[in-house]
Amino acid sequence: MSVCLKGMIMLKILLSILTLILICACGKSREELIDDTIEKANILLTSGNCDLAITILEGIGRQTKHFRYLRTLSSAYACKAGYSESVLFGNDLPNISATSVWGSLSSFATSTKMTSPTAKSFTNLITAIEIILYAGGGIPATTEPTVAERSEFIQGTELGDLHTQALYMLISALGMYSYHYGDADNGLKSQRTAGNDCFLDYDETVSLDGIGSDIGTIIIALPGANACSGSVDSGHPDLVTSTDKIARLCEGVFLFNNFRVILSAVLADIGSTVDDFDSLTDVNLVLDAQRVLLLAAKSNMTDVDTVLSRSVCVTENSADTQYIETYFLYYFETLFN
Amino acid sequence: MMTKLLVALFIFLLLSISSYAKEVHYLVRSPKALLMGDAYTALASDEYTLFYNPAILGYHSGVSGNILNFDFGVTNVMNKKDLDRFDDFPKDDAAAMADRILDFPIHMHLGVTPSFKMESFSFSLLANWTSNYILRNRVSPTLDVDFYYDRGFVTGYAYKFGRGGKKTKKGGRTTGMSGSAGVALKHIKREALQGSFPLFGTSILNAIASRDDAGFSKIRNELGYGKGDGWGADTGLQLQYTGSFYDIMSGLSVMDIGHTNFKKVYGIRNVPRQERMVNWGNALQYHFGILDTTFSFDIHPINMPIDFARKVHFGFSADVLGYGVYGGWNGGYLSYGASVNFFIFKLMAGFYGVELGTERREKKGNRILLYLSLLNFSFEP
Repeated sequence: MSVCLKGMIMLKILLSILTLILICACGKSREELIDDTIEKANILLTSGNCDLAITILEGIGRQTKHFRYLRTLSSAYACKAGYSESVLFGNDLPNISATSVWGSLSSFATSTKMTSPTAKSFTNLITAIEIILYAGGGIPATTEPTVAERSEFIQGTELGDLHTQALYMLISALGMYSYHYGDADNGLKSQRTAGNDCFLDYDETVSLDGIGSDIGTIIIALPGANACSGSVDSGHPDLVTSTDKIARLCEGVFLFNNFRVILSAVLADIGSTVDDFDSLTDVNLVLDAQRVLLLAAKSNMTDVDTVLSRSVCVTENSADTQYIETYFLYYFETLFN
Repeated sequence: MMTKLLVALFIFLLLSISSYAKEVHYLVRSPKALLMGDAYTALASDEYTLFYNPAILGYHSGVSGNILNFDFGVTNVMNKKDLDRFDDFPKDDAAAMADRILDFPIHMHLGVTPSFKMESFSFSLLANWTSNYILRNRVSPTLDVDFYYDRGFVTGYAYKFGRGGKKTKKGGRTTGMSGSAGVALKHIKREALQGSFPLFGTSILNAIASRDDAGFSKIRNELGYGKGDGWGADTGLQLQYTGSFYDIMSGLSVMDIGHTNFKKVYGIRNVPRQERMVNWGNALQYHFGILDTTFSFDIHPINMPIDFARKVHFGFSADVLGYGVYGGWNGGYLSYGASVNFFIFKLMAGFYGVELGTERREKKGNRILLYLSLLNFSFEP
């Protein structure tokens, strides 16, 4: 028999066996496809290719119960926002001050990226945050994205890590929000060109039934260093004349309420020996104290004080703005400067 | 006609299985194979036979052993771009440190695989420690950890058939076709930590903060380090045509048939299994007096859903009087190296690249290897 013929026989035998093996071999499973896409997206995000990372992740459909997918998709949108967790953790977190919450947050380098209510840096960061907040998939946009809802689908350290990621982004987004609507510069309110003293143009007659007072009285009583203090005050133009006023206010409510909830969850989750969160622990105490004052000042604040969804906030507050005004006065104005 | 159909069906099936993330994790790799592009399934007649194709044991004669052999592997940091990362490396700033090592794959490997062969039987011990780390995602840095420490043994036997390749009384070899079928059994104790951890997430921050005198091991345990042990089996088939001055070889092996699963004995997570891998290799060896040259071509792991181009391996070697040079193409990256072999002593060094991404040439891992083998022996009747 010739060498060529023998070679052909060898080839036939091996190819037959290989073909049988390949027929029996499994193709790519759904889980492998997801893992593969996440891996590819992480490589793209390493090189800063945000758009392609989003395209491939969205291309396989939202995997709302998949911890790594959610992490990666969220960071892909945060990438488009120009956000960096390293910068937030390394540079900004140590500078957060409980004595001037908004002053410190508005001073972050990334805060200046919000040049308008629709700045891509801000809107993409909101998207990134909501991807995590609505983790689980069973939470419609009109439902409150509570910790309990998320923990039905994702638990343990995975939920803890998701919360930490969301917390960092919430801090960054709140920095942008307070920078833009507070017209802040160098940690001080009303320092730039928008011309506003306060976040809002308040209805000073709104009653604070719990303390027998009104908003106007509280504004006058604000410390002199607070630009909003005094009897004639003006709100940011983007929160006064716009038809989107309530939606924009509700962005602040959404960010701040979720920040408070997730901060509490993270602080409960983090070990007492982790000192990177010391400043946030102090902030949490300040916020708790301020909340006590708010709830004492006005009754029925739940429509705004506990709301975690933007759309629910808009629905609950469109007809009557007295609660959201009180909320802004106690949280945003008072804790700035 | 039948062959064409088989080839067409084979290629179709190969291409229909695609894309699997990260580096393929083999149980043990031969240093020589890595320098030959890991195209070694039909060639593994050295001390690593049981990790490539047990059928090749059918072609072993006499008694041989490698008592002390060590292989070391580390990330190749010999290019300027990688060296620059470590200039004025920040010591206390976690974020700055993260920025420096982002996308820099860290690889460390140490292995020993003493082996003994007697005719078609072989027994090999193994202790393999491998750590791979890479920090990815510039936005929310994520640390991919892939740590394995395997210890155990493998034993195998092969049955050879056909008349080709037999030693003649005059010291030559009979020409013709031959084949061999082999099986191997193994028991492995595996310690492993595998996962993707957000660098600034609570799991890593808590793990670092919880460290005490136990130091790194405490962090490791917090992150999900586990131990387990398990039995596994391999099988292979080798076909060979022996000519007067050449050999044509083709080998097929199925390593870790049914996957080698590990029964967890410690830890909070399951110990990652050793995946089944189907390997097909072909080689052509020429023997010109004192010069031996080899050309090899492998496709592996055939059964895994990775980009097809990553499965393609080419290898070349030339040996003259104990000196060897090697080269290859390992699923998209070049490999090369050299060796010195003097009976009881063998030293080998070289460079190779591996794919760390999801498709060919997406993310290269540059590696250096060094292999030292002492107290080798070989006796033939």
